[in-house]
Amino acid sequence: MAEICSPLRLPLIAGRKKPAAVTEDVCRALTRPPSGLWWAAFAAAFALLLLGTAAVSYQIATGVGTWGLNTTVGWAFDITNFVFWVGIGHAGTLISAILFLFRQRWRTSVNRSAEAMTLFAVMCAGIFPVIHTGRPWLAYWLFPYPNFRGSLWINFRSPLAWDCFAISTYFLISATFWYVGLIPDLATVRDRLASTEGGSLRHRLFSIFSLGWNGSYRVWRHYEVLYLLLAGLATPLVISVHTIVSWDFATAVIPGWHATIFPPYFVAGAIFSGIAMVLTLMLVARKAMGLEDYITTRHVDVMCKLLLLTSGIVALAYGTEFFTAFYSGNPYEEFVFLNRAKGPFAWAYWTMVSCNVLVPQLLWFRRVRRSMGVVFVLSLLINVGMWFERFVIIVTSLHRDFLPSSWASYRPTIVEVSTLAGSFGLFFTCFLIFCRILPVIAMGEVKAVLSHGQGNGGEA
Amino acid sequence: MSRRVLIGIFESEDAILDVTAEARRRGFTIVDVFAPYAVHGLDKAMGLERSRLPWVCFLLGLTGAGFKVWFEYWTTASDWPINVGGKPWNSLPAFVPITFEVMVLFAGLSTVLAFFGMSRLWPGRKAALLDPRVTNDRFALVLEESDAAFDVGAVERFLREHEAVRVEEREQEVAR
Amino acid sequence: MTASTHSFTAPADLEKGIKSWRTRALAVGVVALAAGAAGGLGNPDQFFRSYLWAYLFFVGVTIGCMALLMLQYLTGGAWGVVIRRLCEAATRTFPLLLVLFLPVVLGISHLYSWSHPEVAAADEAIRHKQAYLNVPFFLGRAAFYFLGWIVFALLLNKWSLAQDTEPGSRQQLKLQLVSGPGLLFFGLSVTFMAIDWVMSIDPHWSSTMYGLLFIAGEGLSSMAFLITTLVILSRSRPFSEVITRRHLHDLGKLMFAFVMVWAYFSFSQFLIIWAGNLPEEIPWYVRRLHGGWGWVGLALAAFHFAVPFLLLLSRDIKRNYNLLTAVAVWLLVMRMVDLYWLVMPEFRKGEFGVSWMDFVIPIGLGGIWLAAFTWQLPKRPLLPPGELHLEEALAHGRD
Repeated sequence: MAEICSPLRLPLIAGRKKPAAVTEDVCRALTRPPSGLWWAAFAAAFALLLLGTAAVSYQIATGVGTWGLNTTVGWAFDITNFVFWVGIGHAGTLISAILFLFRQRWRTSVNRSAEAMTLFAVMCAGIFPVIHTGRPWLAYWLFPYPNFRGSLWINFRSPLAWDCFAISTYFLISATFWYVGLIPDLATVRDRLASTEGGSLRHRLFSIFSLGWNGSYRVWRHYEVLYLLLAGLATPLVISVHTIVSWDFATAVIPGWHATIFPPYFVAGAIFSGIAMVLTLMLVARKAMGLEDYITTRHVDVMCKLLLLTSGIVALAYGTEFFTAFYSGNPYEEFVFLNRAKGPFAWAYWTMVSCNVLVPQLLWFRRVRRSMGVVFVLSLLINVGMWFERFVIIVTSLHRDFLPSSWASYRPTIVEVSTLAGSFGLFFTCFLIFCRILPVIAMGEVKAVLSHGQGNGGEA
Repeated sequence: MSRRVLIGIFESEDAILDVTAEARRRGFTIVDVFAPYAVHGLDKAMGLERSRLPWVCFLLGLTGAGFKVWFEYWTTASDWPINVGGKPWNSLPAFVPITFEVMVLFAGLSTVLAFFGMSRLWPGRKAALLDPRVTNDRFALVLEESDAAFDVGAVERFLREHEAVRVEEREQEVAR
Repeated sequence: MTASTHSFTAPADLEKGIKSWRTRALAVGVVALAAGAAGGLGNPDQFFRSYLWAYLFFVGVTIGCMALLMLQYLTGGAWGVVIRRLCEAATRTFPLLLVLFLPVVLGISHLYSWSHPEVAAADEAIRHKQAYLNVPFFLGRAAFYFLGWIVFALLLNKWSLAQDTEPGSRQQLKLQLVSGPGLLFFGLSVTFMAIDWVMSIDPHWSSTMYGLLFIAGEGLSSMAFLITTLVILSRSRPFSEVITRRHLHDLGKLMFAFVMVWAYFSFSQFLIIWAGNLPEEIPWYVRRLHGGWGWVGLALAAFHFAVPFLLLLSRDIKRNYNLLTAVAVWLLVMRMVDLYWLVMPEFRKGEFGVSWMDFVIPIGLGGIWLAAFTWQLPKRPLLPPGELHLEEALAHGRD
């Protein structure tokens, strides 16, 4: 039964591969010793992680005073990093769940690594609010449990409590989704290892975690429905997570924070920055691991279009906010927005606008979307821009208080910068280890789309 | 108890779809089909009914949401009411976000557990593989030799005609 | 079965059926609108209010159809192929909608308090907005929205027609190319249209989410309209031969998504304003959540969101022609209630009420709009024979 598809559909996977070739290509990376490049990257990432660990240890031992916060600017680097990392995570769920529901088959090549990225990004994100509490060993106070203080329950009206539930749920569901997606592939690796190193520790671990999967279709039938259900749950979940993050700000009455457009604006921004991070990682991974046949220029092209779309939504939100600040006639709102564009943090504001609105316009051109070097640079710039977006929202809204006598400024200390660097270290360390121990491409899903568009031939 | 089964091994998606549909049309008892990936339309060819997992998901999600609304109401408005920002004791709009999160958490985790239970998957279970390549690139069709009328030779020919690369007969333990 | 063996032109009996519908719609529409206009002579305020409300609904369906059309080209999805010609016919009603906008223009002084110089002079907040909220600029912006909508509709229709005779990727690429900027214009125009035509009825209140509420609502109402129309048309050729439950399932899922997006935007706006509780924002909700209007608000939560949400969760309902149509028609009605709840509390502060004109004017406008839609619809093959995704879309329905 040949699949009927339109003449516009080109093959998703280059090189006319057979299923066995997919297994071979993906698993080869697991058994071959790491390259020098991998060791170099790992050493750099691990060094950053150590630096971050030192910074966080020092901060916990000494106190939050080691940061540059003051009474006026009570949130700055930490919460910027938190929002940034949660946002990065969102692209993984977009690719694994939302694009699955929309039957975008190109997602199969990138979904495994994008989901891994989600998990690691959420781990990085979770660190910041916990260390910002100053007493991270009491972080369990954030959850409602019967206690000897009353019981004094947490305040369910507070967006910070919502956040705690949202991030925990997001991590658990993403991890579950990722693991469920991995099971058939774990079995594939297990059976491959059985012939070469049967009984080894690695083989035993893969056997345990593949849960005795044997490809029975009576199981596949439930599995497919399960995957669909998890995608259906993860889609509203991912939107709710960044919505709740945006409510951390929007339910307050601070001018510049209290805006009804924040939820969709944050969600679009999150996906925007997340896709940029996926591109950054994928462009490196396809070269370093020889996966050019799987992550083709076409995948990059589609993701660039997504960048363009989300950049448009973000720009629309910037415009609407600026317009409404004028239209509302509220002098505080007006001041905040003019202060962003012309005040002491104008450099941050214009970095944000250039990187998030102007630079992505280059992606209208097909030649740009197809040139990997340019896309790589663009993806880095967008990541910078989106980090600054959160910085601008948080710091510029706070540093000019209602009373001019409370006006203050903010400078990050070396401890804060090191903590940010450390979070990147954690992220890349985890990602590099993931690349070595688990199949980075969802083999089971790629095999199912191998025939897609092959009738139309041509280069992907 | 054990039964005799006839196993055909196939190399392509099209072959397994054809042979499964044809075997069902001829009235053979299909014990199972094994595939390295989800083949579109195979469940229909085998004549399997739809999975009931959506019901688990829906009901457990509803339970989670219901429980959480009640819990937030009880803690905030009844057990120890505290005035926060002049908001009403029963701040229903503010309870929505966590209710949603707990609903998703309940629905998601319980569906996965139900799936493991229904499919009998657990850590450490030994995989019963029909062919070492069935998780790589091979497909397998398992037919039960249901009664005396089952003509092994004829069925084997039928499987070979449908591009079976290997056919074998086995004694199989019946677990269910 | 290949596409070329079919003719997708409406057969004679279907065309006759459409024509008789058209005549009836036009007759009912003209009579109802005339009755409304007669009432308007006695009570112009009420006439313009009912008219604006009804107009927003129909212009919304039309804009939504155009957005779905462009979205379909951009995503390259096969789901949109079966509704493509319906969307195109809807976008060809923009010139009519431009004419029908005239009563709103005539009613500016009845609808918008900021248009009275003496009100503006006495009110600091309105004076501040005079640079934006003044009659010439209001008209200029409306002209700009219509210009954009008509130009994009023209291009989309022209190239789509060209593709019928010249199948291939050349026209498809052009359609894709215009859809990107088209969607951008859609986002901008609907945002500002919502601010101009609806939000400015209360010139003291503003919300950055407002435009998005309309974008979601328009997507929902156009999807519900398209599903209803498609099911009615599927009783006869050519749709009876190609439309299957799987197509319906896909469209039903999109409608389901719009129900959720609408609820998400509406609740987000409410929660943020409720939590902030600022004197310049909360009165808008106080007006809408107390007295009779409170019940309307509650009904929206229950019947615009909760009930359709639960129904559309079911796969069986999404695959059932009659049930899905019933939900779609229900959602169209709820869209009107939602718009009523957005517009009318500004005029009926404190007490809920309905005028007889709130019934005849939507029927009048709807009749005329439907007549135009059914006039345009059979002019082209009901499925695009040159569409490159056509085979795939039809095959998708078969298995």
